[in-house]
Amino acid sequence: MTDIRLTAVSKSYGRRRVLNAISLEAGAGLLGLLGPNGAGKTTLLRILATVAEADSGGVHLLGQDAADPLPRVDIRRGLGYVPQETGFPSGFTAFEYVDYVAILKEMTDRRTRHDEVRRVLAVMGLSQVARRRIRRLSGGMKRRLVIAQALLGNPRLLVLDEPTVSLDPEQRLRFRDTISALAEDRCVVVSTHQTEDVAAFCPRVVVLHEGQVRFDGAPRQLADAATGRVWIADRRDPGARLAWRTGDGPLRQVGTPPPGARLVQPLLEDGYLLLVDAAEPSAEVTNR
Amino acid sequence: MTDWHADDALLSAYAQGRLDRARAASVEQHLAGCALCRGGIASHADPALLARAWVDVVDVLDRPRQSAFERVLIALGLSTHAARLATGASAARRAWVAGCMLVAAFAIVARYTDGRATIWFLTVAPLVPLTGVALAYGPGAFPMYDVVAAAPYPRIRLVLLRCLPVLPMTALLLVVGGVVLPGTAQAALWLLPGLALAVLGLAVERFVGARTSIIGLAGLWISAVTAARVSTGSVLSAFSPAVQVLSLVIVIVAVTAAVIGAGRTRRLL
Repeated sequence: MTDIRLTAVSKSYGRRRVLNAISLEAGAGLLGLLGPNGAGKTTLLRILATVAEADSGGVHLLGQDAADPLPRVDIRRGLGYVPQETGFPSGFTAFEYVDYVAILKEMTDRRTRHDEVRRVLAVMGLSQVARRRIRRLSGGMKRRLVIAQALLGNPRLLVLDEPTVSLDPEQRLRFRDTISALAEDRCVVVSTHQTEDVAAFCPRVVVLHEGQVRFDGAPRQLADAATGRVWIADRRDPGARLAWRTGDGPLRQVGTPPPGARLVQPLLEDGYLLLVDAAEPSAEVTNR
Repeated sequence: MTDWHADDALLSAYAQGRLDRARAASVEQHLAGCALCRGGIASHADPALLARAWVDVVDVLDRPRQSAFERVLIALGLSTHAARLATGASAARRAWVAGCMLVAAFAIVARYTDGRATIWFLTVAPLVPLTGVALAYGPGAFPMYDVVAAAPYPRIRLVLLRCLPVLPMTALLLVVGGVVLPGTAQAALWLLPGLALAVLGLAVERFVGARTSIIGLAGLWISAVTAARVSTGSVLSAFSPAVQVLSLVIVIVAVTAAVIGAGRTRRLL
């Protein structure tokens, strides 16, 4: 079943066109959304979360038209959303915050709602701090709290905007584990700047740049796009668009290798950098 | 201390609820002071019953504490979850209190300025709830805006719930003001138009954004008050019975829409 069907979706803020005729389909599984700042990722995810409306184009989510008010409510009933940035009402405990969102998700029976709140807090490893004021939680805990509210009611569509920000390495691994399990029977869209996250647990990656889809495929395909374009050397070569010193000492370089260069296996981030960098020649100068 | 201990049969009968009240109370009192017997009863307890009891205990501990205002709303017939939505976001509550204090102060000042400030007071006061609601719940101001916007809860019902806190606060301030300063109660003329503007503001904000909603409705209101003053020579004509009725209709329509919305999801306010 197709849970997301976008057809030529465009969105502008003032004169600035943020999304330009985006078309995208997705069903059950994990879809990683990559792109530089300002690429339109957050706008796209806000449209998928029905928080923002497209200026033009079709947005069908969970089989319903998101432009119609009544179907939109039904879509929201099957939706979990983690915004890129969100705050918390002062004075709430972790439990009270998730309980407040649970009411907004139409869970009216108190006992059932509270059981569900405890469940999602447990999934995100927050049971021990359920009664703690949010202002006393760490940044990582607050982020997990926002993810917890998105899991309320076992939604069929999860839209997560940079969910791993503020999470420490262990928490990120646990998050991957949780989300991978959830994605087995539902559609999960994850926006991130962390290419290693996408490489690790997303079978499909979409690269958004300047409001357009620049790549849509498997992470391995994106990495393979950089085959023959990544090499290591002791000094920076003139053909390198980007170069950085590795932990072993030599410079890892991405660009046009010199003859006889020691080519290495490209990673997802190499393919991504080349894809995005190709659209911005100035990056070569800024990264030298 | 006693050397007597409950035997296995007695503990089993107690755990399974087979003792009469008097004997159960006696065993219970003994258990409270005897660690050995408390340890002994563990093997007789029904694990499922214990698990349910533990969840009940945890639920009481987790349960959000109700504020005094929340308890009043529940006593007046609002469901516990609706009362929670109306009073839960303390940031908005503070905005309301600040707005109401401002209006009350304005009313008192108007009382002592021989009516000259009354014109300004009556013009500006109805806009305070509007800006209060819009600013407190608009994007960039309400910290949970995106999370709330993605939830299925009927928006018109949420709008009304958000307006609830202003009513008791303003009414209380105006009553107190009326008692302390005779004549201040006239200032209550702004209340109904203010509430109508607040409801309209939140309803319109969904489509045009908070800033446009505030500026647009504020502009319309100020234009209406100015036109009333120019045409009749008194600002009070902007608060005529017709305006009060119109405001009441707007509020009633909003309430009706909320009740219909509640019916759709088989819930009442």
